[in-house]
Amino acid sequence: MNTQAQAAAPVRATDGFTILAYAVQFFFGGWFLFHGLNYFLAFFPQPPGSSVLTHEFIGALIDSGIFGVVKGIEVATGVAFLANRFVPLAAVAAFPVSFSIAYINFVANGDALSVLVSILVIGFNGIIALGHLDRFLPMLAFDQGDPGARGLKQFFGGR
Amino acid sequence: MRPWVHLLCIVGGITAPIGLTLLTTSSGGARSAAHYAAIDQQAMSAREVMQAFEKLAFDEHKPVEAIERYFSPDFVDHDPDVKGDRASVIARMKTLNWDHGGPRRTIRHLIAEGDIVVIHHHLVRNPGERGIAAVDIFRVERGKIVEHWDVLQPVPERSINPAPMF
Repeated sequence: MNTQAQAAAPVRATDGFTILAYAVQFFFGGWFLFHGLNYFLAFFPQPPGSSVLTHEFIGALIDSGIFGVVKGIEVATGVAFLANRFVPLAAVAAFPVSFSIAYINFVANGDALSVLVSILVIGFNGIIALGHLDRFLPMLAFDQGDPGARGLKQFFGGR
Repeated sequence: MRPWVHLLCIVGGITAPIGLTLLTTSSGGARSAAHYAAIDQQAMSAREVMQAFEKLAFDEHKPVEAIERYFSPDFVDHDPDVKGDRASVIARMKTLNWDHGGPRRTIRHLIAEGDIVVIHHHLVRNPGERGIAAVDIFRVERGKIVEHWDVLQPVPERSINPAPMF
C-alpha cells in the first residue's frame, strides 16, 4: 500500500490543540476499549440503562445480537486510538456508536450525568476527527468529479 | 510521539475511564447498583411486580421490606379496615402472625391487564383456619403498586354447594 496519507509527512507539531486532541484520543480510546471489552469479559455488570426506555433499548440490542457488533466496534476503535494507528478511520467508525450513545443518553435518560456523557462522547469524537480534518477534506469536495480507478491504483501501490 | 510518552498515554487513557467508572458505579455514585435496581423495577410489568411482591412478602415472610420496595409512597388502599396509606398497611401487616407459619396465600388465579393485576387467592391467616377466599386488585405504575382494592369471603364450615370454593 502506498496511499497519499502515508506519503504525506507526519505532523510533529505539539501545539495546544495537538495536546488536547491526543488527551481526548487516549481517554476516548480507553473508555471505548474498557466498556467494549466489558461486554465480552464482564469486568462489572453490564449497565442495563438509566431509564426504562434505555433498559428496553439495550435489552433489544442484546437480544437481537447487534450489541455484540457495537461492542466489537468499540473494542476495535478503542485499540486504534490507544495504538495511535488508523485514528482518522477509527474516528469515523466510532461516530455512529458515539451518536447512538449521545442520543439515547440525552433523549431517553435526560439526567445530569447522562446529558454530560452525551456531550462528552460527541465532543470527544468530534475533537479527534477535527485533529485529522486534513484527512477528511477531500470528502468535502462540492464537485467531486467523475468516479475512476485512481483510488484503487493508489491503494494497491500504483501512481 | 516518543514510545515512553505513548506508553504513558495508553496507561492514562485506560486508567482514567476505569477510575471514573468505579467512581460512578460505587454505592454513592450516580450509577450505583441501587440506581440500576430501581430502573430494573420500573421496567417490570405489572404482573412481574405483583409476583415479586408476593414472593418477598408471603413466600419469604418479609412483608415490611416488600411493601417498602414495591408500594409507592403515595399508595392508596381502599380497604375500610386500614387508614389507607402505606404506613397503615405496614402497621396492619405487622399485626399478623408471621413467625408461626402464617399468613399463607395460595394464588388460584392471577390476571394482569395493562396496569391492573387481579389476584384470586386462598388466604389463611393462622395455621388450622379454613381461611378466606379473597380477590385483591392492584394498580401498578412504573414498577410500584399505587392502589389496592379487595373483596374477602370467609370459607364457610359447611356449604350447600358440592363444588369447592377453590
